[in-house]
Order: sequence, then structure tokens, then C-alpha cells
Amino acid sequence: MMIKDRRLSAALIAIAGCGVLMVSGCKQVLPFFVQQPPKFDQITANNLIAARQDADVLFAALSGGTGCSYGANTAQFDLVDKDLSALVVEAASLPNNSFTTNGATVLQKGFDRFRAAARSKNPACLPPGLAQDKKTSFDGAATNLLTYENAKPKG
Amino acid sequence: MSVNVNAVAAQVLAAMQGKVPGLSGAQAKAMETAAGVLAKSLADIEAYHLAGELTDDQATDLVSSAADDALTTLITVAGTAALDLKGAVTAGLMTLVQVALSASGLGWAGPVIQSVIAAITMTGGGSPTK
Repeated sequence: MMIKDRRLSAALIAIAGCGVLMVSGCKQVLPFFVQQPPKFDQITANNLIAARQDADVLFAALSGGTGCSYGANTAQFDLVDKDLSALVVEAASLPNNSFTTNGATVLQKGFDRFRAAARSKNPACLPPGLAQDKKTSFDGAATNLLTYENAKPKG
Repeated sequence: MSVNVNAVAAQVLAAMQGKVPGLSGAQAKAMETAAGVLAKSLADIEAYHLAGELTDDQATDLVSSAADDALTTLITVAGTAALDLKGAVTAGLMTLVQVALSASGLGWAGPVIQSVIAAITMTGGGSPTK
């Protein structure tokens, strides 16, 4: 009986507290407790498409017989880096967008590690099979990020 | 070392569904594909490493790069499925990596990928799509 009374008291206090919150402005208090889902962002989608396209050009060059060294492709490496940096900056600028921000950051980090391996191998080329593997995994990761972006509510 | 990518992917998926239950068909497919791609990448890196075409540092960079791409996919799956980022991704990547490493013979890369996992646990959670 005693326990029941305590539970009843706690429930009444909670209800009373809610009433006070509503009167004092729930709209200002609630966002601290309930995060809104992130919205679709066209710039993020465009950045992802650009990164994937520019990376495809790079991986094709790295897989080719001639001109496959890091030194021959620094401009294309820079271009993909620029795309990924723009993607991370845009994602981080949006509210409640930490999944995309994390994903973009990790994608960029993975590209940087690949670049380090290619640079270290210069003037020789990375084995073409490994450039192909990177193309497959990078494409897959970027496509999944894009799919995730497209699944977000529009507007 | 030859790797049966399909077998690895199926094994990873089965293990991950225990760790990260309730995945939709599309989410499970994305994980399965990422697992297969990671296993093939690790096996290829190990083959070139053993053949002397990659130094230890180059192989380490490439392993980390491949793990990061798989991690990106896991993050999007966690987001789409409205899962906890740290819990789902850490459990998912640990499972994926354990199976892929043992299948590819790339046991030495375990600590490298552990550092990838440790990095994501520091980047915080977030608000999923749904």
C-alpha cells in the first residue's frame, strides 16, 4: 500500500511538472529532449555524386597500365579530396546530422589512407587489383551514404 | 590466400543479425555486400603483402582504408535503421572484421582495424532518420 502511494505521488508530481512545462513553453524545452530527424540536403547529395564520379576517374587511372602512379594523378587525388572536404563541411553544418557527418568523415579518412599508400609506392604504381578493390569499396560506401541521404524526409 | 567471398559475406551477415537485429532486406543486403567487399580487399592486400609488393606500412594503410569504407556503410545502415550509432556500429564492425580477418589470413591487421573501431566510438551518436 505504501509503495502504491509513493508511485501515485510520483506520477502526480510528474503530471504536475508537465503542466508547468506546458504553461512555461513546452516548445522551447522539448527540443532538448527530443532530437528532430535530419532533413534531406541537396548539396550533400550533389557532393556525394561529385566525389563518386571524380573517384571513379582516379581509380580507372590507377588501374591502367600507364600513368597509374601517384605522381601522375596528384591533381585527381586533390580533386577527390576537395569533394570529400566539401561533403564533410556541408554535413557538419546541418542540425542533427551526425550519422552523415560521421559517415562522410570516415569515408574521407579511408581515402586519405589509400592516398598515403599510393604516395608511398610512388613512382611505382599500386597493384591494379588493389585500386579496383578500392573503387568497389569506395563506390559502395558513397552510394550507401547517398541512399541514406535520399531516405531522409524532404522539405 | 583464396577467399570465398560469398561464404564470408553470408557468415558475417548471420553473425551481425545476432548483434544488430531487426534489419530490413535492403539494410541486410548493404551489410552483406560490404562484408564481401571487405573480405576480398583484405585477402588481396595480404596476397600482395606476402608477395613483397607492399611494405608493412602500405598494407596497413590499405587495410585501414578498406575498414573505413565498410564502417561508412555500417554507419548508414545504423542511421537508416534508427539504431544506436556506437552500439550497432561497434558490434557490427567487430563481427565483420573478426570473420573477414580469419577468412583472409590477415590476422596481423586486427589491431589496425581495432583502431578504426576505437575512432568511431569517439565521434559520438546522433539522430537517426526515423
